[in-house]
Amino acid sequence: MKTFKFIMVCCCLLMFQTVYCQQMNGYDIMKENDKQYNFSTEENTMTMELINNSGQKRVRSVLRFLKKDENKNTQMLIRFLSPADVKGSGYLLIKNKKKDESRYLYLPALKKARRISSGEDSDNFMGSDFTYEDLDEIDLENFSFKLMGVEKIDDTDCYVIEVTANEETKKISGYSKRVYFINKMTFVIHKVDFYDRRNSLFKNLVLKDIKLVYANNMYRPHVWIMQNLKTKHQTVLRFQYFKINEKINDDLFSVRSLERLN
Amino acid sequence: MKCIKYCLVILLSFIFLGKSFSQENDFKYSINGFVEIDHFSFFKEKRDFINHRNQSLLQLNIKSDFNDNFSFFSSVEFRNDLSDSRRDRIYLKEAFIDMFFPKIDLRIGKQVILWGKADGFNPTNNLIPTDYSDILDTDGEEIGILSANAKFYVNDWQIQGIFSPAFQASVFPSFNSRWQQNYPSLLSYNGLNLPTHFLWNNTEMHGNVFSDSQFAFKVSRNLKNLDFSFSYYNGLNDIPLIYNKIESVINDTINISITQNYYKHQVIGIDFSYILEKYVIKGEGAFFIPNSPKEAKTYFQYALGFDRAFNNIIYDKSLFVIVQWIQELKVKNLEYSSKDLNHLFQKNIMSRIEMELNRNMKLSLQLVYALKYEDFYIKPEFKYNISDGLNLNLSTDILGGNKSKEGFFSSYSDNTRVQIKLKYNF
Repeated sequence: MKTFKFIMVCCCLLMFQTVYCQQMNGYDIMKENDKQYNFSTEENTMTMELINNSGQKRVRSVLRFLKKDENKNTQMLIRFLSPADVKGSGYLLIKNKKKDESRYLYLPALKKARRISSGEDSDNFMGSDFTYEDLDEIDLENFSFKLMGVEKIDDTDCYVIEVTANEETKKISGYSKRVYFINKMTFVIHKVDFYDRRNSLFKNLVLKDIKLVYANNMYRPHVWIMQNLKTKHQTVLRFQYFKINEKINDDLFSVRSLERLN
Repeated sequence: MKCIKYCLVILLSFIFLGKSFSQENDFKYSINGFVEIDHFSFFKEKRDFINHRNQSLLQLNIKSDFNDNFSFFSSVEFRNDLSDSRRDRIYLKEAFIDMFFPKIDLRIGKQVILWGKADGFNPTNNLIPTDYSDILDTDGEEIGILSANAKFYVNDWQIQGIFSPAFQASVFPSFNSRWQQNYPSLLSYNGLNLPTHFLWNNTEMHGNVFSDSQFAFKVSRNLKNLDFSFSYYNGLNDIPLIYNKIESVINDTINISITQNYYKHQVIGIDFSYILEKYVIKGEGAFFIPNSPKEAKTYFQYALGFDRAFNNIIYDKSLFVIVQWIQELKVKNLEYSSKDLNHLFQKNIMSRIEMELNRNMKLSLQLVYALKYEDFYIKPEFKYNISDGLNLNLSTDILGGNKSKEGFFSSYSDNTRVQIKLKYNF
């Protein structure tokens, strides 16, 4: 009898879950996905392969530290590890939710950090096919989300969500819309299609080698492949490791620390 | 030879010291640097002068991290110039230890200290001498000084203090360099053009006495959109004051003495950079107050300008523009030679434009125009990244302008040249 009751409870929970999932809209799914970025600190190293249409490859590697608070004020420090001609260079970004920014660049030859002007979100990150916008989390309040259906990506059921910026965000975004393919079980992004301002598909991002990196619900893709469909240029990010929510001192995100990198 | 031994002993001792230290501790060291092949030719050849450069350069940097708060760095340069053997050298560029404490960073040893936020012209940067043997190529030619350099961090403020016990002069063009200053063979005297005879007075040597030591401090702060600092320097000017005096006129010849004086001065400076929308506004100015001799006068130099990046700066297809105004304010009616390195920029507009054509190619253009002398310097440059770490540079230095005004750039218009450089970083 006990076993029967237990099975009934499980069935009810499963039915409730199914009904809940069926009722989830685009916003709910994105909100679940947003939990993936619910961290206070992150450290990672990555290599970046820039591959042009004739197959020529350039490889860069960087060490990246990120810290953010509950108000989404973000601090980021990047240290360039290779190639040799930029090794020792560093980049510091301190940004608050109001988009006030301080950016500093440290070049070993200059022997001092230099304040640089704020860039556009649609600027490319280190000459790759990624823009700063692609690497940043999206602020859910500034976008609208439409659930388009479910599709299989590499044998995984994924929600297909059309993401459109509101009028204010559209002015600074490089895209008219994006289409996210989000794992139904884990809410991790598997693929993104990017549409330019004329609404034609021009980039797609495929995320692979997705592994659990923190607690029992925080996943990170370890390989990101961004293809520019117009230029046929491709960027592959390969992450070596992620350290999530480990203590990073605030002092790390300072000009002092930037100048100490070398 | 002594120098070679000195450099090698320091380098090897730190490698071996490091290796033995690493047996018991978390010791890391890294070696990097670059190899460079550099050629230039002047468009107009001149007899009895060096008309080419064919140099190879090797720079070796060693960094040893004893732990997170204690490290050693040294940099040695090997230079061989096939066209001018006097430029050959093995040279210890830097060798210092770093110690980091919670609120203090301490660096002791031979080091290059660069101050100032303006681009290319920094009146607050007075601590280190420079190798001016090729006046157009002073990038990376700063000469390290033996010093103790401490930075204190108090809240958002940074206080930096530097003491250097020994004086070191800048290096100037050799006698058969194309940058050597020519003195007139005839001068007008009482309405007559008479031949001249120049005599160099003995230059007072400086260096290893305590009275020749220099010290400086700087207070800086970084705010949300504004970085600024105030600085003070007290020491010997590493570029001497050169002044001429007619000593006598004998047998229809004018005898003129040339005095070269490394004089003590104080420099009070300020600099800032301010973010205004997409622009970085930069300014830097300094009062130069000589202690003596009477020939040296107080003057003020400043630079004010902005830069704007139209995309990312590193790697990307982007446009980067710097525009800057440079001016010197001095005692009324006082004129300096246009070739005096202390007063090269009197009323100048400087600009630099960089354009990345694609991920591997970059074009840049540097322009300097002197309003006072109506002369100019233009440097177009093409940089090609052949592979990771390997770069090819092609550039020309174009000098010209109104010759009658005898400005620096027009006087050396014959020194217009083409340069090719291949550099591999490892």
